[in-house]
Amino acid sequence: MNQSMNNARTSQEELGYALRDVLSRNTGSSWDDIDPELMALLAQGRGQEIEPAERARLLKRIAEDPGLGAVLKSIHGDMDDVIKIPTIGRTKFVLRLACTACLIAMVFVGTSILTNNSLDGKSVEVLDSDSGKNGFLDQLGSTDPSTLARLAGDPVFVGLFILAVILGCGSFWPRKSSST
Amino acid sequence: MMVITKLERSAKADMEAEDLWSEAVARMMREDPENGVNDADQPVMHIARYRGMTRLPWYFLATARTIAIDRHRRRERGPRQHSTDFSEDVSRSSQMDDPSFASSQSETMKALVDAVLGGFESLEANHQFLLAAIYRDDMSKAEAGAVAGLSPWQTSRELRKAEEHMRLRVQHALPGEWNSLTRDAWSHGWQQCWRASEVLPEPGGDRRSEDVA
Repeated sequence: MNQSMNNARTSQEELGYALRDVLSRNTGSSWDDIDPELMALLAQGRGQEIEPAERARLLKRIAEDPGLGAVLKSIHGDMDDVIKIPTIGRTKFVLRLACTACLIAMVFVGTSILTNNSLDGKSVEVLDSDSGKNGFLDQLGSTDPSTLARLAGDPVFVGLFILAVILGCGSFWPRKSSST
Repeated sequence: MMVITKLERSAKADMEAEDLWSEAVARMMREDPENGVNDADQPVMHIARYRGMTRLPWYFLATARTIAIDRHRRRERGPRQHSTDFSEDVSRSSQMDDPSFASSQSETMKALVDAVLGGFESLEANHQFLLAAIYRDDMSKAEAGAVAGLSPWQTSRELRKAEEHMRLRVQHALPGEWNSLTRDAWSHGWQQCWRASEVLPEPGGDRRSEDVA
């Protein structure tokens, strides 16, 4: 049992040494061809602005050289306060969430308006001029406003609709490429 | 001023912040042989490479950081603590263990190392970067994904693909050898080889990936 555990540990250590040795061949290369501007762009999460071939080359280089990984992480740390400022990308999520909330509220308010109005329409009591008695008229459709008009007449519903449209537009507005 | 403040905030530079700043400026003002000369027959400075894609202070900051870490790695690159000869390591361990086990272990590990390295080299640049950033540099998945231009869910998907690719390569190289012991050795070796690098400690940055291999 002990022997087996020893062997397993040794196996892990030796594999670690072997991999370390081979991978360390990639470290220590000259960084003269490394463009700090591209590193800064990557650190800011704006890698899409770099030409794809150049970006792939740089990412590969960073993956192969732990020192460059440290540079990237370091710059990323320096820019943390800049990156943490709410960006359009982060705001979009909040806008979409608010827009969805508005849409759900609209459904509730709209349902409530339509339900109340339809009940009111069936409980109107009028005086029948021929018989002189009180009676109920169930069908007052001609005098009822349409569904759309009823919804449009409700300020809460209209407010929610306008808000949903504004938030929806805001959340899908294309992002400006120039930042920080 | 902002660049110096940022440089001062970090304790990992081997030089003072002002020295780093001066060095960065000097490097930018150095003649750039690749750019040749301008219309007035004057040599073009290195700063002519600046394309305006990011703010100038960030450009200088990135240059200063590169200088600092480059200098540090050059200074730290001393004699290796461990033997660099793989077979020597194995034979050293074999002295303590059963010789027949050591022999088979040597073959298995050689195949494992080849498989891991071959698998890594055959990965796409994005996948290589994700593996390195998350498992070597201890960046969070979200940060690594953002650098590679991926959304969080895309990062998880691409990372899974990369890991699956590596696993398949190892399985292919060692058919029937993929068991918990092999898997542990692979995982441990993978992490160890990254940690042995000359990565400097990040001040206050002890974030770790939530799911290491």
